[in-house]
Amino acid sequence: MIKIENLNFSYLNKNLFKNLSFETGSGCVGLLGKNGAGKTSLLKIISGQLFFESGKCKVNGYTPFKRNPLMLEDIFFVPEEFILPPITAEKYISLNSKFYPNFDYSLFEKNMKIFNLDKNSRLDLLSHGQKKKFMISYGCSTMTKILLLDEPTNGLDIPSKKEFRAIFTNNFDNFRTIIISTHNVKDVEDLIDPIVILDNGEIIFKSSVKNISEKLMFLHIKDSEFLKNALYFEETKDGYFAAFLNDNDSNNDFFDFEFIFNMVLSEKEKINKIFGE
Amino acid sequence: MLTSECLNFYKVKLLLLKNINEGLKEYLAGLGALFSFIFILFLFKGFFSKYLTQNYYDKIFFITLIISGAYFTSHIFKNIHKRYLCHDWLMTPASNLEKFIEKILVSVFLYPLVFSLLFFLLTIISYLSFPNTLNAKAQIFNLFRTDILMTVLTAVIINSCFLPGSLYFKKNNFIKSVFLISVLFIICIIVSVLTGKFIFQNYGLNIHFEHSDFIFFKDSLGLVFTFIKYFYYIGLAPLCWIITFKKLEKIQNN
Repeated sequence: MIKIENLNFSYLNKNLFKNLSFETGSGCVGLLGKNGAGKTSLLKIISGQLFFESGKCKVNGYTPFKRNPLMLEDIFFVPEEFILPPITAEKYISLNSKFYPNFDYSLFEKNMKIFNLDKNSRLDLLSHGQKKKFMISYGCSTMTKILLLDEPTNGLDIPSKKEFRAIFTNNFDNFRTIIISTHNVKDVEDLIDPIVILDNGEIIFKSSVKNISEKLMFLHIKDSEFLKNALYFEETKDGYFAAFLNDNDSNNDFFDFEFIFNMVLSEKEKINKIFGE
Repeated sequence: MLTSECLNFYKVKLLLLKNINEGLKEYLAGLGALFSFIFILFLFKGFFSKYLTQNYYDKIFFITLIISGAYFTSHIFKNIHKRYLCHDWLMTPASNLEKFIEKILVSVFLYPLVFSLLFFLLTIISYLSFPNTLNAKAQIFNLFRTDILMTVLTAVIINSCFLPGSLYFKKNNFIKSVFLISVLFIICIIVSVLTGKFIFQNYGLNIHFEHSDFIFFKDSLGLVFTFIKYFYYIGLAPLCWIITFKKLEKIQNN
């Protein structure tokens, strides 16, 4: 559905992406990276909001920046920051949903209910978090083949983050490609598979959860003596979280995306060797 | 792109409804302020001269329609230049042409019509209220006159001239557009004067009306003036639309 080959893109005279290649089919991709890693720019390129200098980018067979209406009907992007008009949610839906041929109104109502949002409330008067929840509800209900979410949990309170996970767990269809870009890995760790880690405009890691579990073993150890064989470790109150090569097909003590993210960033070369990149 | 993907009038209608509904509050505030100002002018006129004539209405109608229309048009593409608003513009599933047509319909055609109708309603209010409150007589503005239709047509042309400015400039669109149009107008006058001077200099200064060469040029000038007239009424607005559309496509691909 999304295929990027040798893409080059500069922003404010800074070469952000150099020969970037990335491909994904259906699934819920977690696009992880530090602030300024290029996550938002990548999502904007995929959605056709940014023009790249060279290389190839195809979204459902279309070149995104040409913004063919048929492509736009099948892609929805929930940005991190946005402005909503001074009308009710119901009115907004009646005006905008017609642009999306597969829009599911009952799903929208269900999502609004999960998020405790009122259809008759005026959008411009909502709090930042509520606006975000409305946009997520609307985006999910458009039933587009591609759904892009940029930092969707930013601004959401703790109960809302739980509701967000509930929406995605209940409504995820196998035919959809969902890309969730975030630096708050914990908020989305139950949802995403595979994970893609972007650093300095480069995809430094891409793997499914299954592949990670097969190749690495995550253990909670108390004795520092075992750390000499560890690929990476982090100190905890009562010991260490450590990652080892999974030679014996052992079970994990924990599976933490934040830990994996930190490990990939600090041990790039070792991880690349293990995952064959 | 196939023509059906490029231009679907149902989508233009959807965009129009979206624009009007989502921007209704802003439009009402703008028009409210403008017509309050016009009503204050009517009050002054009614209070001091005790009579609001068709001639007075014509002057106010012309000036306010042209200036407010140009101001409105020069801000019609403001969403494109704003960081958090351009997302909605870019991601709405419609083609550039459909989005562009919708903007032209609102700014170039719909605005002069809505303005004319509201102006007419305001004169009805004046007609009904002024005799009792200010002891002044007020006529009702007659919309269906050839000169009023010509004023509306002029507004359509002037608004079209302000369309490119709404895309070419990111800030102070109206002032910059006025400046640019004035500069272009002055350049046109200078070029015309210099061309005329150059042509007639070759034929000496002692040209008489009966001189056959001058008659030839007089006919040619007539032709030039006819061309300018037709260009102004038929060609200028579409030319501005084409320039704006080309700029729109260029902006959206960068």
